[in-house]
Amino acid sequence: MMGSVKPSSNNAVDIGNDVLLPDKGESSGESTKRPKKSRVVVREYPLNLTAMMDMMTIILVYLLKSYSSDPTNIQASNDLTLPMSTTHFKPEEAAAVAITKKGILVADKTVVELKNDKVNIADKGGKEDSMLITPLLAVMKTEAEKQKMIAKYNKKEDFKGLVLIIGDKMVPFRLLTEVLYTVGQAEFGQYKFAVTMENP
Amino acid sequence: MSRKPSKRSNVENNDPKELNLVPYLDIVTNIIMFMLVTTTSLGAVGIINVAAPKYGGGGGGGSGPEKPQLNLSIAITEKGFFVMATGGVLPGIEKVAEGEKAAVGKPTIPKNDNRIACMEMKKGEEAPCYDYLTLTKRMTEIKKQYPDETKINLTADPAIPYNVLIKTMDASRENTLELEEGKPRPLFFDVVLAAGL
Repeated sequence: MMGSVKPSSNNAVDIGNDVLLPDKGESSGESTKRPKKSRVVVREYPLNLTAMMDMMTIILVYLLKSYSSDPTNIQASNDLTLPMSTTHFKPEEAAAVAITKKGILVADKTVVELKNDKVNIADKGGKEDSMLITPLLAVMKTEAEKQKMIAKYNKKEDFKGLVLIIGDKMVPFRLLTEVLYTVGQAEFGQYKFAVTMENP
Repeated sequence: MSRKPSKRSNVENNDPKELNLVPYLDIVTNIIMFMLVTTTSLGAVGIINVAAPKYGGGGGGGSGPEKPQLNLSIAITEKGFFVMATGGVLPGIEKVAEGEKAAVGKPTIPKNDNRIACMEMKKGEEAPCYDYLTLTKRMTEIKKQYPDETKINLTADPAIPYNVLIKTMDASRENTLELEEGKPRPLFFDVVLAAGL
């Protein structure tokens, strides 16, 4: 109806829901012309929010889906800046271990705190030259058991020992090898280094 | 005769009330805003596959003569790259008055002191910086002699940053300056990370 001009029997012009009615005196054929008086019925058009709500809900569902299913849900921060690389490989599902300037995190929980890019000696069994980070080993063993349990009941989810290392670009090589050695002891032997792609 | 109820008033009274969607829309909009602000991702994230060194293996008694393994390795030090393979360390080239000679005891590819050259490599490092371009050239030369070899061992000084390690992997994985069937020429892409020096 809106915008369409429909011929009416009593010369009424329908614009949307507003009806312009001609003055009565005009139709009587009086010769003396008086200024036209038209009665405009103003109605409010409520905004149809249903379509907008549909759109918003779709966006929300999409955001929630991408937020939860991304294997590398990495938050940008001052403590974690990924190095740039020319790699073309996309990330895949793997146990994520993040090495930031402040600590080593597994599933967004700090497992080991770092001081000057070094692990506390107490976390290495009291030996400074030890490669094994004991709190990280315990967490990764639990993670391996969890993945094996899933693999036991779900044949599609084999335990491959994949681990995603999300390291800050300034992490020293020594700390990196300590982390790799420790996760290796927990049967995670295939490493994947997360980087920022130069040419995505 | 009873009066017939007004049709108009009846319709108006039974008109179904529309659900007030405005508060719901407010909530949804706020959640979307919150999620968009908090999910500030680091851009497109990619991965590099790296393997741990494997000990033992071999044996088995395969048929035919075994090919000698190249065992190509790169050691990243504070002075530069040492490129090694079965048989020893690849010497660097030193420019002398008579031309060029092997620089024994020095890195195969020393750090580049030229600030402009460092900037041209666009690796975000200050001079002296690691000479990734020369490393790629040397890797390309080796690849031409050993086309079937794909494995490379990487090791570094304890203090070498992760960033340099990734750049070294990039430099030895493919040569972006030489295209092969429209793609960068593949070099040594099976990276094995060895313990520190």
